[in-house]
Amino acid sequence: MTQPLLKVTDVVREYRLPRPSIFSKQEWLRILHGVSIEIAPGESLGIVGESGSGKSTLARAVMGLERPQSGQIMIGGKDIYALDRTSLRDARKGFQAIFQDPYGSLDPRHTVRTIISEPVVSLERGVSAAERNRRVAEVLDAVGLPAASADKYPHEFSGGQRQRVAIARALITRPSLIVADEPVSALDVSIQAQVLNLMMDLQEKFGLSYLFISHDLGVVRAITDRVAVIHLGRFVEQGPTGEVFDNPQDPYTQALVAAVPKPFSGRRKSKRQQN
Amino acid sequence: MTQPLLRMADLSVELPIGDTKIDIIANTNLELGRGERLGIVGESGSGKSITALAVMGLLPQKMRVRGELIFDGHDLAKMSEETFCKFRGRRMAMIFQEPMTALNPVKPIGAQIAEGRILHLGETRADAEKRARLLLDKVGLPAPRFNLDLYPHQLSGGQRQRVMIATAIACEPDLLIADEPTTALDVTVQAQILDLLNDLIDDTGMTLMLITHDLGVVSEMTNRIAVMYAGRVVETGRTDDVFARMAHPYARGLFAASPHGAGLMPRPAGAGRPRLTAIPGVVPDPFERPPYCTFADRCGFVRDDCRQSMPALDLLSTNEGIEHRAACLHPCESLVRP
Ligand SMILES: Nc1ncnc2c1ncn2[C@@H]1O[C@H](COP(=O)(O)OP(=O)(O)OP(=O)(O)O)[C@@H](O)[C@H]1O
Ligand SMILES: Nc1ncnc2c1ncn2[C@@H]1O[C@H](COP(=O)(O)OP(=O)(O)OP(=O)(O)O)[C@@H](O)[C@H]1O
Ligand code: SF4
Ligand SMILES: [Mg+2]
Ligand SMILES: [Mg+2]
Repeated sequence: MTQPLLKVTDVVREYRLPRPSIFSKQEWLRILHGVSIEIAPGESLGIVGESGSGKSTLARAVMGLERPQSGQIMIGGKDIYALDRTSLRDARKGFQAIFQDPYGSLDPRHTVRTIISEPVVSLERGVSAAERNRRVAEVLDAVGLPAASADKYPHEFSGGQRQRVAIARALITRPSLIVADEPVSALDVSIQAQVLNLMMDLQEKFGLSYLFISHDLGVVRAITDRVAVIHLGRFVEQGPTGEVFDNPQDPYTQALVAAVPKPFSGRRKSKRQQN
Repeated sequence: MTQPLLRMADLSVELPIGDTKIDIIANTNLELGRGERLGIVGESGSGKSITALAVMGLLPQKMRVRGELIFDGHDLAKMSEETFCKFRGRRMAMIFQEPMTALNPVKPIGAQIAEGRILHLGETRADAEKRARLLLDKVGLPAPRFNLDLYPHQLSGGQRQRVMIATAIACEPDLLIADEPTTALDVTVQAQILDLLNDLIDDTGMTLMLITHDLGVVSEMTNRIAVMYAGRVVETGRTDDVFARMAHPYARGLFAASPHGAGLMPRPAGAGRPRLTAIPGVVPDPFERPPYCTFADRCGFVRDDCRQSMPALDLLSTNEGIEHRAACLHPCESLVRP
């Protein structure tokens, strides 16, 4: 068997709770209770689960941003929390993130050009400015933004346009793994379709892998091969996406599948008209 | 007929650039009666949030409103900031698209929710915080895990969004504008929030303007819908009628692109992953909108006359007193769904 690109083993992550007073005991809240997942090269894994169940926490741990209290995160065979700074920088070229809150993750003082080329500047020293600009134009085009966007600031964009800037930034180093936390939830369906299609194209072209977090089961079904369902910090079900959604085994997964709003179902409306 | 709660007549939002001006929103006409539920859908960048911000008096600094914008008999375009402050949060409130920009990062969540009741309703801090507690419970953030003294950064994306929802409904406003209120929420929590908004509307007669790209949510939550494209309303009518016909080709494209359609189909074995049906091309930049149908360059039904003038929002039919209109010279006739 080929070596997995990402291997997360028994990861535990806890947060400190605010102390009611300085004399009270420090309490910890366990968010991830020893979770494990694997992604093969070129594969995409979806993570779905309730709000607050620990999806973004897992994403932050995988991105090397928050060290778990215990457990291991291996990317391309390397334990990312055991690397020194230079090796980590080399490794970082290979994985990029798209975060949940596009505004919070884009520095408002910088132009889109600066924001998008930042990973190249910090991770690929020695790339010329002209080459950088060419790549900025290329990724802007790929996410469907006009080339002139490069010289604008984040606040001059709509919510969905900002999210596309975040996606462009993640693509520019041609990483092999992209951790995408709700990457399309701020997008309208047409742009969403374009972005998802783009992500699929890139996957086929470059053999990219995705760790794809979304609460939209339609989106997850469209783009992932396998899905893992997280509930209260534990995975309750994992398997091929179609199988899990068509025939959910765990009660939480069943509730999730049943709660999807459907156009034309008129579910809530008929309830409303009754009372 | 009784006076509508909100009336936009020939409303435009202009942005000065150098010595020219561009219209981010162009000549919009919309009315909202009390207790009505209007959905706004449309492409990213089409002007949904700007329309909402215009109503709230929170437009980005350089932008100006032109035309009529009347809320309960008051002309919002002429209202002083002082009066606006009394309305905002009390008579009209908004759930913002990006929770992190709307919440104050250095203020505990309880104080943020209670603020409006202290300021607008003159409640004591103790009463207002009691109310804040109740609201947090209702949005699915119960005590003791979610105490009033938590800060926004200690919450997940969806939890922050719910704090903002609690803040917006705290004073039971007459008009609630919800800009993508459930985008960061999984479907089970989303269902809980939609039920909560539903009950609130039924109990208080609140008016809802719901901006969302989730066609499932609009169809479940609203009676009337406006489809926006490039700063204009291109189709409007009863939600059911618009969904049944989708007279404007853009509206059709929007539905076809929904992962509810393509993504949920079983995947043919062996073949590559099926692509979603995106609408080809991109929405024109506000600077480069043509003087004719703005959808022409992407439209599958385009004909010569489409590039000669701007189609007006013409009447197609009237159903239960609500007009179905579309801004298209060659509206689709056949029903998508009977
Ligand atoms: N810095 C922090 N301090 C304390 N608790 C935190 C902190 N960050 C997150 N949490 C808590 O950890 C839990 C998991 O958060 P996480 O952001 O991983 O959720 P999520 O699954 O991404 O949810 P959502 O779908 O709402 O984004 C939440 O209950 C949240 O309140
Ligand atoms: N502060 C600003 N300065 C200049 N242009 C702006 C500003 N804010 C928004 N715009 C532009 O106005 C247009 C409408 O933006 P708006 O935020 O209303 O879009 P939207 O329909 O809400 O899209 P989304 O679904 O992506 O949130 C966009 O083309 C955007 O680029
Ligand atoms: S007016 Fe013409 S180009 Fe515009 S949407 Fe209608 S058919 Fe298409
Ligand atoms: Mg999250
Ligand atoms: Mg918006």
